[in-house]
Amino acid sequence: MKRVTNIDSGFVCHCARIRHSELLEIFSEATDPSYEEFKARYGIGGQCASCEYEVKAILDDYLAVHGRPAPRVEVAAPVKPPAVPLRKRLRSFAESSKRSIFPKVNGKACMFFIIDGQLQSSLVVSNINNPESNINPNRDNVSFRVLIYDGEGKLVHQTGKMSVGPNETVELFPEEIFDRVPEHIVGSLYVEYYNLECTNTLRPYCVLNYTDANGRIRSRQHYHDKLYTKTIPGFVQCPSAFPPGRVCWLALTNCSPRDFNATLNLRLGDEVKKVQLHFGPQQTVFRSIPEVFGMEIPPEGRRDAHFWIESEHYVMTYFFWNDIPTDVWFGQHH
Amino acid sequence: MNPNEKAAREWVPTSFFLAASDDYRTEITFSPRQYARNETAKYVSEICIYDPGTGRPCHRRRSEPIGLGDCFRTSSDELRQHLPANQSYFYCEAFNSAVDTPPPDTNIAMPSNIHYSSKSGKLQGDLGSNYIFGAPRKAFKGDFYYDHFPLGKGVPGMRLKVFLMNPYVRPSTFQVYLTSKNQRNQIVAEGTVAGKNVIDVEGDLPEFTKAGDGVAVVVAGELKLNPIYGLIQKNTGIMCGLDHGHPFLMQRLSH
Repeated sequence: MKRVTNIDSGFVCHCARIRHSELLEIFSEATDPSYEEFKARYGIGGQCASCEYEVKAILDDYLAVHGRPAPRVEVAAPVKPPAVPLRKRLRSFAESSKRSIFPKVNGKACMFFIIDGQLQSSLVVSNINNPESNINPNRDNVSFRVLIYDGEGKLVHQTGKMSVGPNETVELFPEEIFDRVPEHIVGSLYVEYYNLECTNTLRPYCVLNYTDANGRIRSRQHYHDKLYTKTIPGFVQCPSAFPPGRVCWLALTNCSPRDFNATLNLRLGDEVKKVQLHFGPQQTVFRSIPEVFGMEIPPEGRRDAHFWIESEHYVMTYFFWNDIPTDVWFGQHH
Repeated sequence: MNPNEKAAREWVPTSFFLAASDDYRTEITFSPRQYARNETAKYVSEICIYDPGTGRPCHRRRSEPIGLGDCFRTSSDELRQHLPANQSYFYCEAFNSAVDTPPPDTNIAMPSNIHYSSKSGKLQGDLGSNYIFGAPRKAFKGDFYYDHFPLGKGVPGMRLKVFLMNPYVRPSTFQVYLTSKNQRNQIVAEGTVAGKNVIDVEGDLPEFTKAGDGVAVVVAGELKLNPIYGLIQKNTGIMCGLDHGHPFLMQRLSH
């Protein structure tokens, strides 16, 4: 029987008993490092194969730093790089000055947003410096604005320019977003960043805050932005549509400026129920699955219930569950 | 495709933790249609559960080939009888793939859905399984790998609970810290996660008010760990939030 060695040891490949440092040494000696070559020559990943993906990732990291050895080529005479014409240099300077004087939105994200009785969304934006160097990749302060659309897709509020400093995390509750907080809104929230260099930790999240009758917060479920312009490889779906003791809610947003129809499907055993929804530009729908399909959930739930959306265009979807016994809300994107 | 020919891309597994006890229940589901559109292919899901004591596989559950619109389900109720007793959390991998069909694009991982529930309410949430490899993004890596979760202002009466999964065979040291405008890298927990294992750590949160500063949680790991962040009500122990974070992203995402 093979000895168990993978606890408290530094082996990457336990079968060939090769440590991380030895792996790097092997990479450095190879003329054209590849996983297949090491497998054939040293037996790395050749038996149980559980380290295959890790070795490939370490090799990728190694090649990212050291590069793949260049094929041998005839050395040509050095070529002097062409001089950048003065006009081009002046244009580049003017563009860079314009960027700093008139900051441009170059990064944006969208999330579901709600203010409705005991449910209230807040926005969290976090701008953390590099934990090792304490240098901020976005040059310290990052500016952004927030846009709120209602359920019909109408822009109802736009903030002025806000900022988040280095190592700062801001959480904006509705009273910090609106001048006058509406009593009820179900819609979407857009964060638009100005002159963003890289996303770093600035991927925005919202929090679904659920308060009890006394106004105390019972649960805080984070949820983050979702892609809405790219083609996703499959379909939005949820296999936990009717878990026992829980009601599943759909938060569906069309983040695009076009309108389209989407078919919502619910499979229960062999039966598939279908409901067609029309989405106008920036429109949002927040409804429970039983309500959408006009049915009651059996008390014991239906573990085989499976929900999915068929649509030509992307519907940004979050699923939220109200757990009745513990009286909390939690959620997940599709 | 010729069986001897190597595909340009291969399917890769994703990680998650199984919670299985008299209190905890985990439902694991894989539906190919979430990540694929090829109706002619057949798909297979293989769940591999690792023994927390040895870090070696202790049980595998493999689905029959299923169609694009089908759904493979299993749960801790079914799997528990095959697992070591007196353990509540197990590191697992879901290897979901299309039979004899390589990934058509850079989406080389097809995660499973994980739905947690408990009688006591101490664990509840819904997550996708985590990318070990295959997420097409560029993240910062220094002396350690970093993961970030923007906790926000927090709430008095809540504790932070972080689940740390180590998808590699080597053990990894880690530190969990809080960073705010006025204080960075304040350690709340540190230790080691053994290979192919999961641990949970808890820490108190500073008492925040709505007017106060927000805070972010950062996990530094020797290896690229898969952290999950939970919130717990202090007085009842009920879990009232569960989500994943993100690495420090080097590229600019604009959705």
